[in-house]
Amino acid sequence: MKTTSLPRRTVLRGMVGGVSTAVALPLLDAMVNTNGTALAAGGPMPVRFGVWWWGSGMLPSRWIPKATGQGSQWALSDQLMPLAKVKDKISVVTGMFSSPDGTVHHAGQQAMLTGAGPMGYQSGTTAALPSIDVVVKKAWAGKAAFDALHLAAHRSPFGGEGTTPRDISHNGPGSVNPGETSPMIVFDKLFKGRTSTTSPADGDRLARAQQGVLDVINADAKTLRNRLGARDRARLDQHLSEIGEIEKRLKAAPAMGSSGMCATPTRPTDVKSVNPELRLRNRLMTDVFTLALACDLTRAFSYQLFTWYAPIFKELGHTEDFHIMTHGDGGGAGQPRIHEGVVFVMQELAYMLEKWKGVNEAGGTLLDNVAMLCMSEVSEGRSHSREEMPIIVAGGAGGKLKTDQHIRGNRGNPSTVHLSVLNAIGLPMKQFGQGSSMATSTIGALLA
Amino acid sequence: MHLAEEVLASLCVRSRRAASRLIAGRALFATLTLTLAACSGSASPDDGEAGGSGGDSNHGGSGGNDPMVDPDLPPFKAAPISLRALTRIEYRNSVRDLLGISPSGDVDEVPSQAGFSVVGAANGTLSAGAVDKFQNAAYSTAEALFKDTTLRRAFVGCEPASATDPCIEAFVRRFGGRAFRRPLTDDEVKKYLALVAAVGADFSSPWMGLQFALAAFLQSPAFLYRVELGEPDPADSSRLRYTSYEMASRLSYSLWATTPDAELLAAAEKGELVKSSNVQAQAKRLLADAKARDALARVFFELYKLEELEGVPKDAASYPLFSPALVASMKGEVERTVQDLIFEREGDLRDLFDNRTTFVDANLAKLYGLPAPSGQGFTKITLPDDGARAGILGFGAWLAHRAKETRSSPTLRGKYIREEILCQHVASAPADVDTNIPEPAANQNITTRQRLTDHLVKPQCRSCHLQIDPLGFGLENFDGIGVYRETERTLTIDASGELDGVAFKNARELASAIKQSPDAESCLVRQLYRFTTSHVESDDEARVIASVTEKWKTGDHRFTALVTAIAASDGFRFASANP
Repeated sequence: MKTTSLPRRTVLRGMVGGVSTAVALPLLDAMVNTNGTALAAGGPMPVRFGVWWWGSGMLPSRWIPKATGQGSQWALSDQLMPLAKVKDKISVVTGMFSSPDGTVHHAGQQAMLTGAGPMGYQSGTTAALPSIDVVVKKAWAGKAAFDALHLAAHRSPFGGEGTTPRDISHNGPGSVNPGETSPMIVFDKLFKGRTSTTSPADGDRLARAQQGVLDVINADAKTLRNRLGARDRARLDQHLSEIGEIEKRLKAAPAMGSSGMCATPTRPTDVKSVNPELRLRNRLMTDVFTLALACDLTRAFSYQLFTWYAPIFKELGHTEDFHIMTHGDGGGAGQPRIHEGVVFVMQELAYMLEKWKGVNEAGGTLLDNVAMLCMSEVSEGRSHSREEMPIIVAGGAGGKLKTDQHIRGNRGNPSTVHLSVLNAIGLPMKQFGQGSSMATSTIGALLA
Repeated sequence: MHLAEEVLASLCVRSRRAASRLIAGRALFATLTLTLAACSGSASPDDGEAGGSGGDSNHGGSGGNDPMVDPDLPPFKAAPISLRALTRIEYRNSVRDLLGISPSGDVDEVPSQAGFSVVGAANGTLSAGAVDKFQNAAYSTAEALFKDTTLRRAFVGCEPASATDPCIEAFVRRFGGRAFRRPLTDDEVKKYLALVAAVGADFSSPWMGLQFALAAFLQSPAFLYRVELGEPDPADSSRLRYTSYEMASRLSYSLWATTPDAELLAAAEKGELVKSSNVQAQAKRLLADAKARDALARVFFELYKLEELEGVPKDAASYPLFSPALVASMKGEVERTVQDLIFEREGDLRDLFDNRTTFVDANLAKLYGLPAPSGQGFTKITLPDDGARAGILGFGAWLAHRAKETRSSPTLRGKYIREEILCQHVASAPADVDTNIPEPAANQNITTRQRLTDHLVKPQCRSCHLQIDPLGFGLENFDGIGVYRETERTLTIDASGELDGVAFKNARELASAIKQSPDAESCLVRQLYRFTTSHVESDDEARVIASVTEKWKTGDHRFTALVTAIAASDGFRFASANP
């Protein structure tokens, strides 16, 4: 950890343990300069990578853009129209075929997230391999205060059928990173103690007191650990590693600037009801999430709008959840209510991408420094079709990804998109996935 | 063809009770045989004797040779020790009982296993982010307590003159001993005193030192986990026994879902709780206390997944009655009915399956087609003798959960009866089978039962669904939220079916068949054993289960008799080393 002296007094402010604080902290290389446009230690803002997910697919006939090509050669389709303002920052990839067999939804989801079919687990399925967000999270571990954020605008309160229906991010079989659904909890985790002001001396004392508490807890844990067998030791180690994370964050610099959104982040209101409007929840969460990325608190993420254990789109006057609706008549010929649902999903994606396009970073915007795979587990929900899997690659990966294009494959392997993006963000992997979904080649048109 | 079908069926439904019996018979290839036996759909009548008889441990010293012992049962071997995290409810209750105030902020728990949060807590690991929540709750709670000058003085027991005031050591020893459920070691005392002194000096306030010490106690693994690692059993060196202090924790968390009280800790200190008779006496004392009611009603809350009910999707157009208020009423009914049966009336626990005494409020009366009760809240009523509704399977809460958004689901209901009520394992559909059954056209006049014909005709479905769907058919007189009906669309509903060879005509007969099923009886014992001991029993514990079952029978099948027998049993008091 770097302990370079601060160019100016950088202060962590707020309320922790009942004392208003301002804590001077050492620098991580992740620390952002005072304008929030570059790293304080010099160098451009880093590339951030993640997955953006929705459930139950789209309608291929209204999703696939008519023409392929770049710039003015292609135009957005009906269902992609909400992305008009960020068309120049995305690539739409169509003609991809998800090969693993298996229970519908489960197999497609795992193919798109891990490049492998699912494994059976607890009357359902789980991931056979880590999901791509975790692959990157591990590769970039230690670079920012949080190795990854796992967020969900909606997470079904109803479990069952293994680990895949509710959660997209997996460390491996049976081990999920559940998406946090409360924007307020996410905010507190990211910024607790960083929104109000008092004297630096109090803050220093508080940091020392918290460190003292951590020392006692660690000592208690180690005494206990020595008495445990191997099995319980492994269980306690999970707890200990989280204490280690807390300790790291206590020592790590928060993203600070004298101006801009990182200086005085706004705490969101909480959304508590069981089934709130998805749009409201998504936008509050997107706002907090944008802060986390802009302030370089994390560089890897998974973000689920919802899975196929879907909510009801009350905003559209729906009375059944989206998944159920895809299997019904969807409002009649051509499933017009499914169409409006897909458009709604794309509006929510557009909200995020437009927001990122508005955050300036040296040489461009946050969106230029992101590489995000936006995907779902089927194409047409009603038939659970594995043809024409929906994929949007959003962001420029710091100039390494080409954008503003529609690339069309011929029953191509979706994992080739994943491998291309992994290469673009600087992970020189030669393959991604396993079995029939494994990719060993990239898509040249994606890479700048 | 028949044999092939049975082999397939054996992969669908497995019964542990049958397993014990056959293993007892020392059949080398018992596994294969038993699954066939369990799945043939016509369990032989003598199945009933196997699980229900036997003795306590055949180890010397505890249990002895019960004449009821099935001599073929394997010798008792205790389950391995396991570090056991507190569940969310146990955390909340413990903080409340230790501090006199409830914690500020919610915490996570380890996901349930085998249907119980306590089993998950003893086997799984905390989810990512859980430690953060413990931290936030600890700081906020400590702050809330110390903000109040009267509360903090009462809590610490003195007005410390400085951060090194001797009364602080007295507090650390007293409070630490309660928080960790055992006396602190001198090293531990030293560490916590050093924290108080350092923080107190830094802030020039002994209270700040104490506040941070409390935050540390509340985040220490010694508080957040039940550390029950056992000691060599003096009577049998091959196994461990739980120490007297550990038994205080085990009793308290199992029966009260909270930290031990002063009386338990005093008994622990005197070394009394290594004796079965003392454990039994304490179990009886705890069961007589109001704290046991909420703690033990949780068994059934968790078994029937009541916490999930709010998230169960229901189509508003099909079920306009279904609302958050109705869900609350449904849960209220289960809670009251269970508490009434097991604590007020101290009835036969098996009455759960066909009990007609229940509690309804205005919402439920409407749902059940009963006259609205006078006044607010719940009224105790007796359901009509000739009606279909009775017992667990008549609860709106049970029926609505085990159904789809727009319709009932005989498959889900049958599966849950097998799994939750008979303790059998039902395999999931093979991965290559499309499990979606097409929606019938709006003008197609068929019943849900008819719609499931595919299940019982297609060979890849039939083998399993024959074991599942016919049980659910018995509940077809209840729609997707539990409203009674005699017709579906314009067709008369056929609610006949069979439970492992016992035919029934309707839900009432199904309830009686379940009540008389030895599998259901044995399942209740197993579930309570799992809940009380925080682990899923192995075949090595068959003798203890058999002995507990005998004691339960002797105790008129009362719930409290069962729980007392489990608490005093070898399975609760002994352990083997951690793998």
